[in-house]
Amino acid sequence: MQQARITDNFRQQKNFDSISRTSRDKKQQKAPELPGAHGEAAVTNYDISAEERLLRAFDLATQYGPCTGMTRLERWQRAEQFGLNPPMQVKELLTGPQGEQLNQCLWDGRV
Amino acid sequence: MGTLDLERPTPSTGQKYDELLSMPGDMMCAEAAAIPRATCEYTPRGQGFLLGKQRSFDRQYAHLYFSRLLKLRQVVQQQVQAAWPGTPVVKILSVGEDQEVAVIGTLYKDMKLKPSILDEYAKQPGFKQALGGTGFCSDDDSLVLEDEGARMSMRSECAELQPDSVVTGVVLAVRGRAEPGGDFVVSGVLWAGLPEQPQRPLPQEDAYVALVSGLQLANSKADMMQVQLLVDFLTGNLGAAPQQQLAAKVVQLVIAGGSLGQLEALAAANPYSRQQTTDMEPVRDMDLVMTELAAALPVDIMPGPDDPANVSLPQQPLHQCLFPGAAPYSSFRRVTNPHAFELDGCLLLGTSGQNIDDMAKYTRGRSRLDLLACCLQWRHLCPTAPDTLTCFPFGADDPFVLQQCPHIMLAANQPEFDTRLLEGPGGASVRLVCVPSFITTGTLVLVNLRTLQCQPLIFQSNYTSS
Repeated sequence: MQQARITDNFRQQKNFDSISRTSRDKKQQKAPELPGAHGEAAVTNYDISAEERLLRAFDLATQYGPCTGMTRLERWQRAEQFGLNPPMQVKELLTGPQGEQLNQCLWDGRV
Repeated sequence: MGTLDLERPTPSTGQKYDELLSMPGDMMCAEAAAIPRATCEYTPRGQGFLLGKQRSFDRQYAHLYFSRLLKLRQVVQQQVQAAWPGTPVVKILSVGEDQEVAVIGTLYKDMKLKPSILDEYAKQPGFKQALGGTGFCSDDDSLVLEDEGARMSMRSECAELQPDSVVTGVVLAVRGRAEPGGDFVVSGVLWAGLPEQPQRPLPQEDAYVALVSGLQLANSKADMMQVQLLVDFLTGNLGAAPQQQLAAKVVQLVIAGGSLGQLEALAAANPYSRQQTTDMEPVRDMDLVMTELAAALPVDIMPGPDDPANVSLPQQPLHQCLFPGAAPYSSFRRVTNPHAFELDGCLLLGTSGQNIDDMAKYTRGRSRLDLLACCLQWRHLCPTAPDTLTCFPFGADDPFVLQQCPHIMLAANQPEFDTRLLEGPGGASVRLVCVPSFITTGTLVLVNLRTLQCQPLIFQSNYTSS
């Protein structure tokens, strides 16, 4: 009969491999490469979707305050709270199914 | 002190310290009935100063200035419409030379002597000059106004707005016109003004709130006898019947920072040495003092400049493990700095003094009490944060903007006692108090909640332990 060992239930060593891999994954997720940010196509933004274009315009609108260090939704809510009437479309995009991915501002992971 | 409007102590009726010194079973002792302590309804009002789970420090301070400007702009705009009707309010970018306009923005004071980390690299002589002086003001300080779009330098012809009397971070409206050289010439200025003061029911009987700060129990100059006298007074174990009756009217004690001070010996100690036990003694002393006080009356303890709490404003409550004895009492509250609460509708707002200390360094010709009044006038508790005073990088809010005008406003750990009743528009009256440090002055300040009058009580002892 095989005896149960304590190491069956408790790992002997922390699995550092998996930890570092997930954190690296996160980092990669956080700073996606801008399409056409380098090289010849650096000036054009031909493959940016209309939604992303709208959100970037919102990021760069100075009347809603600085945009780094907070999510787009937080910034939209702050603008709303101060009565600045931020565009409704932006909120619809950010609370929609794609919201999670679109929530970080233009400069996230780059500054 | 002759000029201060102080409340006089109750005249003594010639009684000596009979009750406390009488023999057990004595007639006097039996006659002395217990004096019940007055009570008050306590409502915390400083929830905005609690950080809770927010611990993100990677945000820039730009958000804080933006929130401050936006929160105060509406208020200042109303002031402009009332005081300067017909003057157009414009953004800095659209200021023209042709017409007189009003501009709302945040003030920035350009100071040569302001210590900057960059001086070390720039090798400018500015920093060395600063070391010689007591403040950082110089004669060539200049004023700059900022809004979310741009900044412009100002030349003020108005006595209210001079570089020596204002600080960085204040939101204000200026009226004037741009001159061809580029400077904006200011002919008028408007502040946000006192916020609205909530109505309070007038109490029928006298009740006192007691304010003390800077016990500095870890300081080598701390006099435990003096502290014990304070504790004995508040718990009703000192003096004759008039003093005890006064002590019984104290409904709340606020210890506004500096209770412990720097634990230098502990910071230097080897963590494994036995010395640590003796170095921890001040912490135990503090717990003993608080336990004794909390058993007798409600106590609020705020952290101060040198206490074992975070340095940046708002300072979070001292850790519970520092008070193993006092923490179980429901009358003992560890609170934030700044701290706001209501006692039967009387709103009290106070800091441990960092805001006033910092503003005093960057202004000339204004007393500490004047600066406290300025905070109300500018509607901001610590305008110099985050420029020269460290504070948490708030995102969508600036909790230091005053929403309501307090009835009692205090700054603690100040060099000397000072007080004044500030009268505002619409019948508002605010008792301003500079609470001095207990270790140097032995002062406890009592403020009457009914009349808003104020009296200092000074404890002295010639007892030396050696």
